[in-house]
Amino acid sequence: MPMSPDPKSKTELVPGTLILLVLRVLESGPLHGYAIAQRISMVSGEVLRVEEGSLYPALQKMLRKGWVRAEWGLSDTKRRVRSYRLTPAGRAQLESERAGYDHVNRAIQAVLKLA
Amino acid sequence: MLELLRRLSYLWNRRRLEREMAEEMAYHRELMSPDRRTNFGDELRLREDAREIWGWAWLDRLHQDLTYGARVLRNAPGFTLTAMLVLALGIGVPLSAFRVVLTDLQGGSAPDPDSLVHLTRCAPGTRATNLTYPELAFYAANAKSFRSIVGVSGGNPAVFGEAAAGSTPEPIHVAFVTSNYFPEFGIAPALGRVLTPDDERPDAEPAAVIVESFWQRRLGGDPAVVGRSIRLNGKLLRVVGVLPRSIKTRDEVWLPLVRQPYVVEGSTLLTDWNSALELYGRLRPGVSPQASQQETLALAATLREQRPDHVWKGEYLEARPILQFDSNSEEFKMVLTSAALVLLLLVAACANLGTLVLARGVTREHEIRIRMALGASRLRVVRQLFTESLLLAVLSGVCALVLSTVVLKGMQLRHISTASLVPDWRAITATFGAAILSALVFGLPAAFRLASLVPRAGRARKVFLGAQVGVSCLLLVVSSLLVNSRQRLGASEPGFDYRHLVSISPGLQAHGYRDPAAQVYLDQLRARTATLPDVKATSQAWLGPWGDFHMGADWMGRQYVGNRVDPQFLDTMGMRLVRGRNFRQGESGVALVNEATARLLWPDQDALGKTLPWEPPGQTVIGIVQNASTGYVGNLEPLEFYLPSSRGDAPDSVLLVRVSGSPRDFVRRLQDTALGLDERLQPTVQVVTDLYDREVEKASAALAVIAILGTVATLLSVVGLAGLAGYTVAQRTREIGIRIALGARPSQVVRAILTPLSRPIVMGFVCGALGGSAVASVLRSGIPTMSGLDVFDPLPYVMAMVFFAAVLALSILAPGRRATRINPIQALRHE
Repeated sequence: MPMSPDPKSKTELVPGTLILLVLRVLESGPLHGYAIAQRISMVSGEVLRVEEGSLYPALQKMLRKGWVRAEWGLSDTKRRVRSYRLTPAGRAQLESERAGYDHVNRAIQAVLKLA
Repeated sequence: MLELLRRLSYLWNRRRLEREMAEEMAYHRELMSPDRRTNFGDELRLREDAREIWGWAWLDRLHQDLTYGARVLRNAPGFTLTAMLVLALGIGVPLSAFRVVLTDLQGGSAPDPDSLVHLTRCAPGTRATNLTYPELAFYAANAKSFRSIVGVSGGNPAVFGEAAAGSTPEPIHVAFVTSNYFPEFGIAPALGRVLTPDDERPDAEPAAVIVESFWQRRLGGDPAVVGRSIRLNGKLLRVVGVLPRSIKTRDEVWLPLVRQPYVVEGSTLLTDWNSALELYGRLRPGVSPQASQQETLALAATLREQRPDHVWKGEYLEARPILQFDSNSEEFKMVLTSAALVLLLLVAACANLGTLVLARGVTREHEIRIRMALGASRLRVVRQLFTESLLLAVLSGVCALVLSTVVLKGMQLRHISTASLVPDWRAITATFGAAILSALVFGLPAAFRLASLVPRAGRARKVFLGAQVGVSCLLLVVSSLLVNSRQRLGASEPGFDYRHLVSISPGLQAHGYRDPAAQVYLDQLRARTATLPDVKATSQAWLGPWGDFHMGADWMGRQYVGNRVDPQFLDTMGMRLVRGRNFRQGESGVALVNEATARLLWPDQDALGKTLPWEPPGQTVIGIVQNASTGYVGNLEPLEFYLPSSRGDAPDSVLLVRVSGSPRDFVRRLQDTALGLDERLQPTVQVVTDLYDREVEKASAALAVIAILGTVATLLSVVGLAGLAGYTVAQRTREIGIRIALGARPSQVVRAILTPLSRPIVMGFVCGALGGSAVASVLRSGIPTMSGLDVFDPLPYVMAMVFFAAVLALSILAPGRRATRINPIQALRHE
């Protein structure tokens, strides 16, 4: 499923939200790297695009922090794939990041409405 | 915590995880549409970025730098070997000294050394290091500040073995200690057990522990030694344990203090108020040394009520932690100076390497420029260059450890030190600490310079050059000053007839003799000795010449050495009265001084009839004697005074005998004479020339050490200067070629090389000479045999300067020759 080449529809992720998005996407079940990128892009209506160059470092960081666990499985095409599964610590992290994001978001909205 | 574990497990499984990441990314890429595939970016770079998250990237870079550094060093074997030699010497020599001193520091193994204090009797104006057994018992029973009080009596002469058993009796030294000595000083037995409180019970079998070296030497290292009986002064003792070699002592057998009267017949040590013990106290937790002094002040006052004759007014026990140096003492200054001298070698080595590395850097400018052009940041270049220096330093550290172990082995073979050959953690820490520190000193400036982070290297090079010249000069000046004074010591006469003197110390005090009996014994011994053939004169004195004990006065910052002697002293010693008169028998309140003392105390006045300014008051000078150094060997300007013998001196006194012919022939006869009067005694007969030889040997040993340091430092300078000059020539080949082509003469070429070096060399030399004289004056005040050293004698400085100039000439000989033979045509084609 190719991304839209139109530059207008491509939006840089707000810094610091990538991990939040990945955590959220993984909440509904384990996915492999490519699928995570696809899912984010699809759900956002192809507005948000995840660069591979930031996805893999982010996944490594989440592994290091213990928010996700990696496990190898077989794909439909009988290829070995590594999928990532949320750990309880990751779930907790997701909640706290989501709360933090909502908080900031509401604040920004309030300012925008007022001005 | 868990995160750390995950990081470590990542490090452990790195290879597998990286393979997996590559596989994962390849899969990702395959799933992407063909037109996007090229957008994936450099997969290697992506993997590196992802890997960076785990925080181990520095390890990769270190590995990379180390591999590269090793290759660079391998490709320049000349530089590497020189540098390693320089630094291994610079670290290894101080390290050897450090390891020896570490072993020498007594109490190094004591647990919690801060609360272990040495106790000294102190009262306003007086102090004494020794206490008596009744005092030990009193304080042990009453002082609440101390958990325990340890009593030690070391260096007691005794005779081991017996003629009847077939082995020859051998004089050895034994120590008597309270059993708490061993736990408080942290001494564990190498074999068997140490002495325990059970051994101090009156009904216990007399027990002894022996020192490992004694066990090896005298008992053949018998593994069944524990439980064996030995004889000391003819008394049977049961060996219960062997003390490890690491305990630094000349006492070969250790016994419970309460057994002293059993081993030393007639001793009244346990009830005697004149005995001499060394006392240590273990403070209770939370009690400060000051608080304990308050308590002992009060306790001593109550003791004074019982024994007013033995306890001073206002007396207390000064408590000083055993590891604490008295920072005002001469000894401390000496230790500090020696440490500084030895460490200077490391400074010289670092400065030396600094110049070498800087000089070598010039040839690598090319390489560095390429690296930077390829995108290396300046800091990355600095890190890589510094890693090289670090690698060099660590390799040298390993060599230094080996070197110091070889030195220690050599010292062990000559029985100078008992330091362990296997370096302990302190030695290893010191080695690599020094290595890393020196890498910072010699490596960083060059690295910064090469990465062009600082402008031209001019200043750093000058500082390095000046430092190494200064240090070498300092060591050269000090050793040449010492050699000079040593020569004068050898040429000087001590001012009395030491070649024909024997002293007999019968050890009356230890065997329970009190005054009238001791005087009777000495009178008898003297009468019998006088009848021996070839005995010319005899005298009774409190201290024998050049002994271990000294009496004296500290007045206006100078040490005056004193003695208490009888009227025959001058005649027996072969000393001459210059003016005034000698003592009369039984006289008191009078004193003799030597010429140096008279001149110093009463310049431009007549000393006769004056009163000595120090305690006790009222000692009138009745005579002036010729200068003689009887207290210390080789004191060229001895300050001495002599008082008449006083009542009560006899138990400690010695008999001086002047003989004609070789004094060594008298040792046996005098020993027999002393034993003939009381066979329980252990008389010590000392030939005075032996003391002289021993002192001269000691001074020579100190000198040898300084001379070795000086030589090594000079060697370093030669290497460093030669290297520097060589690189200067290499670097300026073109310029020199042009000069030659334009008609420069060889002398002008050499001058062109030398001129930029000359200022730091001159500066270094001046600083070195000044520092050398400062160090020499500290040494003079610390080593009695060096007291004649003249810091303002120009000869040593000139000698050092000439020697160093020769060294300098030698070191630039080869590079200079090379420079003058540069072929202008080739030089211009160079590069």
